[in-house]
Amino acid sequence: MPAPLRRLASALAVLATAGALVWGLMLLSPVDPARQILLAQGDPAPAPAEVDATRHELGLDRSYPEQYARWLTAAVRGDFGTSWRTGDPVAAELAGRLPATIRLTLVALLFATAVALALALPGLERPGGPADVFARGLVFGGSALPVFAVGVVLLEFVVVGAGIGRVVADGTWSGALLPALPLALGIGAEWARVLRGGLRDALGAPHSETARARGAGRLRILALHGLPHAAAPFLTVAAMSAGGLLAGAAVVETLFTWPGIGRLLITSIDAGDLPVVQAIVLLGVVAFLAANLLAETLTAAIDPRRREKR
Amino acid sequence: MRNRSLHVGAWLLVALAVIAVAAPLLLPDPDRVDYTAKLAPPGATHLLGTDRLGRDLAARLAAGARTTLGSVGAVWLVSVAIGLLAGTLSALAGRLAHETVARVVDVALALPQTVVALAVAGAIGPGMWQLVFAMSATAWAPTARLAHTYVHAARERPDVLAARMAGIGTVRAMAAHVLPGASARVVVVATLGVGQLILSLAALSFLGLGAQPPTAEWGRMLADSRHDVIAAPWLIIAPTTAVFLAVTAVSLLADGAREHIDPGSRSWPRF
Repeated sequence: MPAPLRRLASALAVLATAGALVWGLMLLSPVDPARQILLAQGDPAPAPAEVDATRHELGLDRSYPEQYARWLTAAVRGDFGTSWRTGDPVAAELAGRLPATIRLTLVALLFATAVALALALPGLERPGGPADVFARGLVFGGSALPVFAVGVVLLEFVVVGAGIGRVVADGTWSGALLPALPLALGIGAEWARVLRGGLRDALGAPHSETARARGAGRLRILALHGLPHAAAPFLTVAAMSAGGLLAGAAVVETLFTWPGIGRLLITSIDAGDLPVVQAIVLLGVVAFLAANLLAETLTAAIDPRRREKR
Repeated sequence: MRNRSLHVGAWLLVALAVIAVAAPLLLPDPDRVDYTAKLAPPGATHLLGTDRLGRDLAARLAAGARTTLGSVGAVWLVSVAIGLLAGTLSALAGRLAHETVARVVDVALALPQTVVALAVAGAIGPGMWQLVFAMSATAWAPTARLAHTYVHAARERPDVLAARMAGIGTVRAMAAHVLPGASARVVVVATLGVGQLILSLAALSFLGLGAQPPTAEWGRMLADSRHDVIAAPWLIIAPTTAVFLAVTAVSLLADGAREHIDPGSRSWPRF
């Protein structure tokens, strides 16, 4: 099997296992889904016969493997059942919230790239010099700073205190600038750490020394000898940070009342609305797997040595 | 030994642990509510000031250190113990055990830790021990993979082969020649993840999914007093500094320890 297909197959295998685990969360929950859905749809005291009918309709009277197969085929089609909180289809709730989160995440990733470059490039030529020490200190400090603290500072001191921006965010592109900052700082610092390490190794390597000795300019060395070498480990770490995006988005969206899936997730956890939690968690896993698949493919394209392995 | 980050990190961590343990002897009860002293600034009676319920901030910070160090320590212990056990045994056992563990590790590595924590909180409810359970469920995977690779490679190492040829049994040869190196690496990799773990636990507690009131926890403390931070800035400075120092301490310690056992290497996994 060619390498890209093998990577896709293994990602799908992991996704199937993750799907089984996410479905299994329902078994851990003490709530009766049929009754819960009837309650959410406005029936204050569902009759036992009604509950049984709904249970049959949902397929909850079948065996567990059958239930999982039904849940999985529905999930693949984008149907995650009915919310226990609102009684509406989960897919509709997600669809309404997803664009805002995508906007926030894209702006945050853009900022993170800027932060990573700004912290990775200074002082590379003179290791141990003031610019190098300063940038390294910022990278180290930035990755130890909690996202929520940066968010609280921005919200309470900048938005409420100084009156810049909006307290209740509306989910638009321009509204995303401020909430994206705390999300971007942590990710950017982590990216900068890896990028710095990669660049320092690449620029100190013999091929860069040779290029320098032959009179190549700083930009040329950076672009041809530095960045391509630093790209592979950077992409790997960048994809790993997709795993923390959901939790980060949950923090920022909750703070800034951003109408995205992160806040919906926290609301749903508080309300015990398991179908919505399942859908968002699965979405988080899919995003993580997709990011890693993309990174592996790009890495293999950039670095021929990685093509043979695995 | 000129390994500054190892030393600074270790001393910082020891200082934090001492504060966490000694605080109950020196500071007031962290849960004692005193409405006559609410939002009091730092001073002689309240070293770091008080929150909106008049609870002593210094005492709550120290109690939060106990919460954080306790839960992080539990996850760390699981990832060291299970990782070492699963990795070593699967490297020594037959092909079936090897493949089984490798597949489970693949899945555990592919699941983002905080997403798993959110899922568990959604299914069985919020709480610090629920988070510890959820974080441990994936935390052992990187250590298991590392231990597996190390032990597997060590089976063909000259010193191990020499020991085997001298008539020493597998178990003893492994225990004497391979286990020390494997455990050192496992401990370092487990520690490399702790900084991120502290940040994640604090963030999840900030969201109300971790420590429940009245338990003091740094993220939760900031969440509870976030509307008071303009009037009482010490309420944001103190818990943020605490998280920052704890993360810095373990990061320095882990980086220093890695440098100590494997100088010049930057290619270790960090999760």
